[in-house]
Amino acid sequence: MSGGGRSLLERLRTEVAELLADPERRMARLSLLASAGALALMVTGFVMLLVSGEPYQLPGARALPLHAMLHPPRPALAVDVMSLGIVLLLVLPVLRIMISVIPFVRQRHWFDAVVTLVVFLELVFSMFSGK
Amino acid sequence: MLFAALIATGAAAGALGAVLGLGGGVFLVPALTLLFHLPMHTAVGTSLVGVIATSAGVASVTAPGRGADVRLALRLEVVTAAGAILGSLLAGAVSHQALSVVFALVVFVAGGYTLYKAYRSPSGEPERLYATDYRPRHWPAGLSIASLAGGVSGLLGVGGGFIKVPVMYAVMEVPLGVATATSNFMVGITAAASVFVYYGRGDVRPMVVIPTALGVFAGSMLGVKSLARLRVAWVRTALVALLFFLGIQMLLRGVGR
Repeated sequence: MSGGGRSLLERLRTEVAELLADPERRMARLSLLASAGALALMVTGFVMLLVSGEPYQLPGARALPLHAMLHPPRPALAVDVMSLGIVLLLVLPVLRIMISVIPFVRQRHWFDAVVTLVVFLELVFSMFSGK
Repeated sequence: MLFAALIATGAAAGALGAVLGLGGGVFLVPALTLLFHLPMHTAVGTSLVGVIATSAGVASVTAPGRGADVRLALRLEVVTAAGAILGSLLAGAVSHQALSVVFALVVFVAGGYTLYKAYRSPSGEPERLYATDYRPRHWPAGLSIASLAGGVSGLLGVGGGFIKVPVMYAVMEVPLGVATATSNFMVGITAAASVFVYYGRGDVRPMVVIPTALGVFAGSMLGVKSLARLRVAWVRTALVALLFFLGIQMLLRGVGR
């Protein structure tokens, strides 16, 4: 491996180690990255829609249903991209709960680990009960 | 023009929601229905996405040591999320008038108790916005009211931060800054518990959600940055004033005026 590649790998390792050691920083990083990604997708889809000549009207089209996103490959339409961005933002709290359990398990705080799991299961239940 | 107006509305709701720990849903729903004439369900669906964006924006820029008390948040969220699920299931069976009156009463009690706690405590030394050497107290009362907050969230489609902050601050004796940050963490989870119902029904409209979420995200980041420079008294006064304003609005709606 080249020096540059090794250096990048080391930086990545350091970054991951720091993130695992610092839950607050980990949560902030995850929130920023996921939100930025979600907003970028939303804006990209929105621009695609305007470029295609669609007028901006409220309330506009519905977001793409979740089951439609799992269908076989389909043309990358503007609404698909916007909907993907919205869904990424919506699942962020679930990701944050999943990350919250790590320090509790590492510190052997089993009661809090179980509490986190219960909240996670409640959220999963609510996601499916809404369909 | 409409797009810019939605961004501005989202930014104002996000900033206020982040500073007060409310998520911003209580501002967004009335703004979207009254100013933009959107259907109630679309406004609620958009508001729930906005609450999640506020929670994410706050988490993205929170300085170390000023974040949420995750342990406290998750323990309260066990009953809050359960209450939210139960509330959303019961939503169709309760009349809007009864709901509004219950909402108003809860808000008045929360505001009154926050004021009582503020003026009862000795004023010898300035109150700290943040601290690490506190211990949440009165768990049975805190958990009971948190479950009520969840029920209200599920019924009304808001994050419920307007109940959570006073409960943690006034009942559980958590510093106000910590209560605000913890509420911001919690409202995202509570909103996520009901937003997929609205998404599945087609009440999440990208044309409304995208400008609103952009504004909310930016506003919440600005709001949390400014929180460090605010005094406890200012935050508390804004919170109590807002609670009474909302309570009067909801009471008027409940009695049909």
